[in-house]
Amino acid sequence: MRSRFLKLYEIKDPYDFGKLVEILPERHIKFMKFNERKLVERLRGMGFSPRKTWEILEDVRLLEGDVWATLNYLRQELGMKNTQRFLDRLDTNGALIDALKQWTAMWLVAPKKLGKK
Amino acid sequence: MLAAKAALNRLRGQVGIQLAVTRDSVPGVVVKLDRMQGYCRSNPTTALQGIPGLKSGRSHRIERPSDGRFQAYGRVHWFENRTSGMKLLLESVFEVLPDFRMTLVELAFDFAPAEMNRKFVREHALFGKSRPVPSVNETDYWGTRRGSKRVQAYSKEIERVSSRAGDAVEIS
Repeated sequence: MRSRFLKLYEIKDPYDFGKLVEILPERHIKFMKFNERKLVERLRGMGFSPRKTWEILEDVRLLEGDVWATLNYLRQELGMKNTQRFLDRLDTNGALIDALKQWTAMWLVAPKKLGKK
Repeated sequence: MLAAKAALNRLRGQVGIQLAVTRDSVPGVVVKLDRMQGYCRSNPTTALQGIPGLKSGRSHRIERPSDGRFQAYGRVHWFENRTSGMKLLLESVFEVLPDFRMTLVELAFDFAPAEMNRKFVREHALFGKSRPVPSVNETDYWGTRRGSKRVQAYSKEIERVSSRAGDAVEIS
């Protein structure tokens, strides 16, 4: 995390590390799985024919489950917005949040400035 | 100083607990602070010398490595506690450093190999708006060098009770 990132989230010193529990998971790091069924439902809702839907699914399968590439394809080629709706959360996210909480607990959150009361 | 010592002891205690968890149960993921970089607008030496019990030690420039290796620091200045022999008290230092600001924080997420590998990260991980960029030397990257955030995923050997391989995701 570089200076711009730290400034944006007001992480000025190690006492602010506690904020990372709220900032990093979901927004900056998450593990998801693409759900084809949700995509098919959406494509039907958009009025795509079964043949076109099948072609899109074949293209998606060529990307071999790569979540970022799949979402990029749907945004760029099909002009879809909010592609995150086709994703399912993985349990890894929970383990990640727990580990981050454990780490931030090691840092003090309420600094007492020397010389100030 | 007593308060700072107590805080340090408390911190040491918590670190010990975390290490114990790591060795005994090998959790799915462990977070570590890999690197932290900051700056002060003014020379912090006077502020550090103002901490009771902390005495100024040796100070010298570091010569640039002749073989062209990266030079992390240009100068070092040791401070030592008169009674405990402690070299640096991090918590006290941050409180007295004038206008201290962090400029870089590197966090490492060490995953157990049973749960994670580079393929899994490539397939399932999303890092906000950061895009994947070409891999270099068996390390996958997301985000540019100049961006506000950069992620790298790689396999690494983790030395624990039994040596084993693991995968790490690092955010810098």
